[in-house]
Amino acid sequence: MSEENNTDLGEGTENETAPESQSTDEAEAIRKTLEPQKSPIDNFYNPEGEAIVELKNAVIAQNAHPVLSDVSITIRKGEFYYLIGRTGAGKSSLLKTLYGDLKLTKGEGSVASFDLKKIKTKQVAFLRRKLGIVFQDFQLLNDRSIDDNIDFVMKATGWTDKAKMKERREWVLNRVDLGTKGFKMPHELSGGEQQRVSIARALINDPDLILADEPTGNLDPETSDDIMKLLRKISENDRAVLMATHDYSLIRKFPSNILKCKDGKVVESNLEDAII
Amino acid sequence: MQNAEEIYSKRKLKSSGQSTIVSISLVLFMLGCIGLVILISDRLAVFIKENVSMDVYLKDNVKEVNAIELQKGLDTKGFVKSTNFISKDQAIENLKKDLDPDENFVSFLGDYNPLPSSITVNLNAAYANNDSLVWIEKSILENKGVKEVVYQKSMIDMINENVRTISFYLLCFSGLLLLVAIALINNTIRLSIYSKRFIIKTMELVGATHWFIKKPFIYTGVLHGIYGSLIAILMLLGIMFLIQNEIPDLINFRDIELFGSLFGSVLFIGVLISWLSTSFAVSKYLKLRTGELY
Repeated sequence: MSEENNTDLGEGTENETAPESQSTDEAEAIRKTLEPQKSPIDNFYNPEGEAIVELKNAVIAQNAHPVLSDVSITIRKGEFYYLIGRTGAGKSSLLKTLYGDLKLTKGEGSVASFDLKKIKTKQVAFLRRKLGIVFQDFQLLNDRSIDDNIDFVMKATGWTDKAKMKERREWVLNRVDLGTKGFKMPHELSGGEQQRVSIARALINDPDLILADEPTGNLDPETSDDIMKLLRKISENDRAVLMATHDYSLIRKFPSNILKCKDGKVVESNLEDAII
Repeated sequence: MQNAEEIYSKRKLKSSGQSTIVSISLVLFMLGCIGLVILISDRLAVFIKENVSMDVYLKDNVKEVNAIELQKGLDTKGFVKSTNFISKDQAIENLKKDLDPDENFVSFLGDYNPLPSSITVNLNAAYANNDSLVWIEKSILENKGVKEVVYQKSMIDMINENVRTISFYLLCFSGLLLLVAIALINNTIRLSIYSKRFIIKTMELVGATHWFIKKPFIYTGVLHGIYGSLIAILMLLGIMFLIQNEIPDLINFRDIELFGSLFGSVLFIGVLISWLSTSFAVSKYLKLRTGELY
């Protein structure tokens, strides 16, 4: 921990000192919980990267009711963004707009070169082939094995060569350390393993952008760390990742760019602001 | 090796398909039964109409040779199903038989035979209506040897009226039953698709096109329709055997075309409703946004 951080912490926690009755250990524990690591927003940009997500003055709406307005963001290849905000602040609506589940009616927006305003229903499937979507509740096809889950995506997205499909399936499953569990049904796997399958599924078509909606929401801290390492590794391989989360301890552990949904707007933030 | 949970899960999926097939087959069987009743009633109506006879009485001076010639002439007419010539002698014999307990009456006549020779004409069912009968009567009376043509006008009216009424109600009932069948099969399929709505949405989210998602559902739906129809057809065959045992004249298994069309219709309706219902149900869930699925 840097000295600067300690100084920040001292200033930040001045008014939040533990009552005298509390032991020093307890006060230390609270202090550590509240302690924000420095995550300067300038450190995680990749200005040379190709822009994958571009929103300009966009209005994100659910059933014609605006949830977020004046949204202007750009996410480039190789960048990892957290999307934070209170429950109901519009995180999921923003992600849904990016993967074409909600229509963009006002403002401008493009994802992987697809114009979100002009995109036709038939084209949405092709937009999603450029993305990898990871959900909090995994959303695996529970009526078939892990191998078949992976195969379904490949067949649905135009893979026909069985040898290549097998090779790719083994590659993505090995990448998430599930190479030996392809024969299992989703319900036979733990939550962390199911989430890794959904990440493997998202990686099949080598997407430009991974959209993750609270991927660690149902997982224990250790498994969450594993999933985070995996997602970070993906972004380091020149892929963009946008991950909605409530878990600030993860942000502290794996600092990166932060977008915050607040009062109907999306603003760039740092961890200190995020916690406040 | 499969564990208990996996076996249970697979059995659950299988039994959901099985209950869909059973529902489809029961509804189609019900529809097939009405089809069978319509076919049998049609056959019954034809049978009754073809038994309505027209008696053509000949003049006394007509020789038997000429009468037979007239009978042959009638046999060639399109409206005639069959004819039967009854000579004067045959007529008196028939009368004797009919009036058996009162033989004195016939013996009272001695050698005198007041009965005319006649030709009984059974018409094809299509001509057993008053308009045709008037025209047929007129055409037969044109023959100089014919004295009069007798038939029971009121009975023909009654038969036609009853057949019309029964056919009308049967058609209304079968139409209603067809609607019930469509609604029930549609509902069964919609429920089975409803249970898979999240799977459908997941498929959509991983980049599958609508047609790619629909294809296996439609394939399974059509397969369920075929299985359900075949079970319904087997049940109908069972019912038909039972009816044939009781009333052999009503069902003739050699009438392949007639019953083939019934079975074909059951199969066609089963497949068509399953296909359309599956297609509509899947499309409905494909059109919904994720949040609208709950």
